[in-house]
Amino acid sequence: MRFDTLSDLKNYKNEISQKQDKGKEIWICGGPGCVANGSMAIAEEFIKALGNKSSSDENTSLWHSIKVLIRPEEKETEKLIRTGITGCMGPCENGPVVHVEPDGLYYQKVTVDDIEGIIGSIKENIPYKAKAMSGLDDKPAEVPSAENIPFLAKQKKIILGKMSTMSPLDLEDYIAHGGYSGLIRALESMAPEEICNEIKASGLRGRGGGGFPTGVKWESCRNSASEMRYVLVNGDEGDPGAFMDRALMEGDPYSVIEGLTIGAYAIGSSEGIIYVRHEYPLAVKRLANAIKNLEEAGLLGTNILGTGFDFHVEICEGGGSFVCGESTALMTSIEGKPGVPRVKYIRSTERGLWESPTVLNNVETWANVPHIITNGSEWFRSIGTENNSGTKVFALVGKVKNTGLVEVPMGTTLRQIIYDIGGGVAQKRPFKAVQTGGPSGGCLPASMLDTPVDFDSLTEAGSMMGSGGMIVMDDRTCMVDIARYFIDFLVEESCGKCVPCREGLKKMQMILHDLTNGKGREGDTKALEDLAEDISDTSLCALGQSAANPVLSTIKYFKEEYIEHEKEHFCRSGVCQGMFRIKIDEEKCKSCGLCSKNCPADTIEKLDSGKYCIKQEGCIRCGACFEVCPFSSVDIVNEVIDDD
Amino acid sequence: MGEIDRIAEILHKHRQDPRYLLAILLDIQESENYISIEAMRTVAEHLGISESRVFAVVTFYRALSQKKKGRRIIRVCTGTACHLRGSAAVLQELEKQLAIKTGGVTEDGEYTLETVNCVGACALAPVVTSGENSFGRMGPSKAAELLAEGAFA
Amino acid sequence: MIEITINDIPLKVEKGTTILHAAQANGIDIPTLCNHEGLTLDGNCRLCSVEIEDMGNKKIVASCMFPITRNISVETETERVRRARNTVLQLLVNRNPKAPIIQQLCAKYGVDREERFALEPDLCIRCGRCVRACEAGGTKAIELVGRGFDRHVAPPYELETDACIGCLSCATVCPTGKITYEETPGKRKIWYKEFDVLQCKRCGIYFATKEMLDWAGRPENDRDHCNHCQKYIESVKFLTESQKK
Repeated sequence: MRFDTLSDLKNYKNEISQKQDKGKEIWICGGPGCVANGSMAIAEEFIKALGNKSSSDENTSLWHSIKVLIRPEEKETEKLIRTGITGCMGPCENGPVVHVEPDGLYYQKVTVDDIEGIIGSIKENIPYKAKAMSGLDDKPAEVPSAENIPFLAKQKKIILGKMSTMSPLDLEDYIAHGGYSGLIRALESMAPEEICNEIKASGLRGRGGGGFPTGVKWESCRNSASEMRYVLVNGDEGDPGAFMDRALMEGDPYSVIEGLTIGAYAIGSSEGIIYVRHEYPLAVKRLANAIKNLEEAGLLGTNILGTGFDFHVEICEGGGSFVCGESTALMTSIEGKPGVPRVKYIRSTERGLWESPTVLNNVETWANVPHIITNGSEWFRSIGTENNSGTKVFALVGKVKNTGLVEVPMGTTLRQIIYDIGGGVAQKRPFKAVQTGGPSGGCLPASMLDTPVDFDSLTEAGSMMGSGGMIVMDDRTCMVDIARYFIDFLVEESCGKCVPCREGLKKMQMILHDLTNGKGREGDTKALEDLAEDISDTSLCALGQSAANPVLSTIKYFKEEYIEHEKEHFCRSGVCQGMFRIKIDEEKCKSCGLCSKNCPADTIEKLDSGKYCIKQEGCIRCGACFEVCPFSSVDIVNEVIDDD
Repeated sequence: MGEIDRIAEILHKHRQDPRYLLAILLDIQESENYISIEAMRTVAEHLGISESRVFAVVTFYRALSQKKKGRRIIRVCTGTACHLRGSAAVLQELEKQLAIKTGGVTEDGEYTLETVNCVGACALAPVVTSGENSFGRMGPSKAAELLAEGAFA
Repeated sequence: MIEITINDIPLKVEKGTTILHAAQANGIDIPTLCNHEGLTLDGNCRLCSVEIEDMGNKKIVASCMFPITRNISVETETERVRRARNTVLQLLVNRNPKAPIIQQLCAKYGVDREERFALEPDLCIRCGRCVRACEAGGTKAIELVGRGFDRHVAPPYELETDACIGCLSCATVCPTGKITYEETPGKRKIWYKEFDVLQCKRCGIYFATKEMLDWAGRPENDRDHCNHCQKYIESVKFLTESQKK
């Protein structure tokens, strides 16, 4: 497959779209969650069951022939069927997930034992009930298609749209699913300035967290006089609890590269670099495979589609450093130096990589570009809200029932995401907070659940969009401990260049460790607040400037917890060691004995009354009783309890 | 093939440009499990850059190490989702089972125990990885069992 | 020329001038540490923080690196600046209590060391002036290595290195006296390495290490005199010769 001219590619696209009967497809989710759940082995078994001996990752999309029943006529017809591995489909909690096309059916928690059943159901043309994905009320959906599954129905998948229905390896698949329409339109009928204007008009803002208007960035780079310009992909997704970019790079690498190619054409660049986090080896592999295929197909390289446009893409692997997600540090790292940020009073669009004008956008931002160019800025602006157009992908994780990868229009509220899509807090525990924006973001309490999720509202609320991690916390999460967790993380990841971040975070860490170790002192909360403000004022780069957010937002919304840690040395969430006692409320105890059975220290005894009681002397405060009690009769208290 | 030959092969694979310093060092790390002073000297000379720059890069990036790592690296994810779901206890248990501290190598040189910020499998938190394999929904006892079964080997 | 104000004083400055230079040229005092006029800028100590108002936004910037490109107003003594400066000094004195320059600055701005957050005393403030000086000389013998709190200055592998020529540029620009060396007649020791220092056959001073002259490309048979005497001898020779003519 090689396209030497624009019409070559257009003809090829026409041919595919005219193909009527596309046959049946069984897609096995190859997202990180499902893979860890053994989906690769299931895929191999599917291939074997369909009669293909070769089962390597590369050879999964072969077509086989099976007999399928046509209903209601009840007659049989020959159909082609193939099976393959996709990127992340989203419902990670219920993996391994299997998706059958073109029927659009989703199956969850699939095991090798379901393979026969699923293939049988395809032959019979009916859903496979046993593993149908959960519909309303958690019961298996009658017809498990997206609209009947709350987790999927409430999403708007544009960026993730193709990911459940194609192989991330095959360029043919990508093109068959609408890929490269954007580049065709750009090269055929748009001047580079027009593309910049179209992106500007779309209102697309940087999905890496900053929310800077992408089109403005492109234009400013285009207008910087230079012979060399660079386009970069920031795939250094370092926020703990975020895997959107990983999913995109692994599951739909071609769309990222198509966006990058359009961007390069728009700003006049011939060299692109994709900076990928070292911890994502599969993303590197998939991107490298995509680049190789695109070069062979003539969609990367010199004189692309006969238009005279040259564009080369390279991958640069990170070395395990969070600060390299910061734009100037990322560029320093690409240059082969320690990833230390530079003072940026002059923008990268004027002087960036190797002192040349550079556009750096996040993975998801680039993936938006082909859609905008294909469908127009007006279409894009019709999704989302006024100043926040389009969708945003989130990694919904933590103590939420349906963890997974979700995509929603900007402006969807936190409540809709967490409750309607996520199914609420896991194990029906009370909601305490949701953390967005990673270590640069903040924690928002229940009172803020109706905040629309967009760049401006989240910043106003004291958190931040960030790249899209959304971590749900329940009442067993200590907010002071969470602040300590993030500051520990940042101390570890600070590059150490500027004084406030290097020394200031260390001091914050000392205070937070005292607070969570029962050594808090009067005035610590205030000291933290002051120091946090000064660090964000004086730090050199975005890491330091936003490092205070986890502390400031938790103090803002959960001050009482800080005060308890500071003055009473008490942790109400039962997290900070030695700072709480556990007691069974005799009133509420129903004498079921579950606590006693599950106590690893064997220190819960049955009283004469039939109720249970914790002997404090042996209690290791692990919280096992707390977890298992069906009647919420185990309390965390701040009092000295005497063993009688 | 000795270390010197393997490094020569790695150098040959990359373009002779200082921008590939990190890429070369990552390859050496993977091949040798550490980066020796000899290796740093060779790379500096090959790329025509100062040894201090190579040393600065090696000491800056966590993926590079001057101490030889174990043949297998067990990584406990300490991302936020894993932290919330108890990764600290898993790490503690593995430290106990392997009788090493995080960052250390077992006496037989088999395992290195490390933490990782996030592996992007948050839905299965807490997660432990070994090589390219991930193990989800870990708990202290499950981790100990898997280790004993040799699942991490 | 661009019109700005510093502490409400109207000034006209060349486009691209840094705030620090504009202030210094007009007698306005801004404390600095990592800045050194002979070296490239780095902006890492943040002590020179000032508050600017730029198109309606007030923010703290590092005056040593901020280039003036449009009308801004600068304040060097607001409450916010004072807090920023004192926090930086506070953090420094907690780790670098014995550095004279830090002691002086703390005395000047009224900052005391906090016992509770006192760290193991160190003289290095990681400003990297030494590294920039070494780089400016082209030797690149030392670097800031490690990261975060452990970042520090070292030669490659923390061992003696061929790259070091014993020129003492690093020690000369160090603001705190962290970089020390031993000097005895004919010998010099710095960064784990011992150098022979050549003596001038005319004036008798110990003027350079052999490695410095190698680096400068001075021929081996022409190393008897220090720079000063060398010039003197050359000019005497020149004068005598021209007189002869």
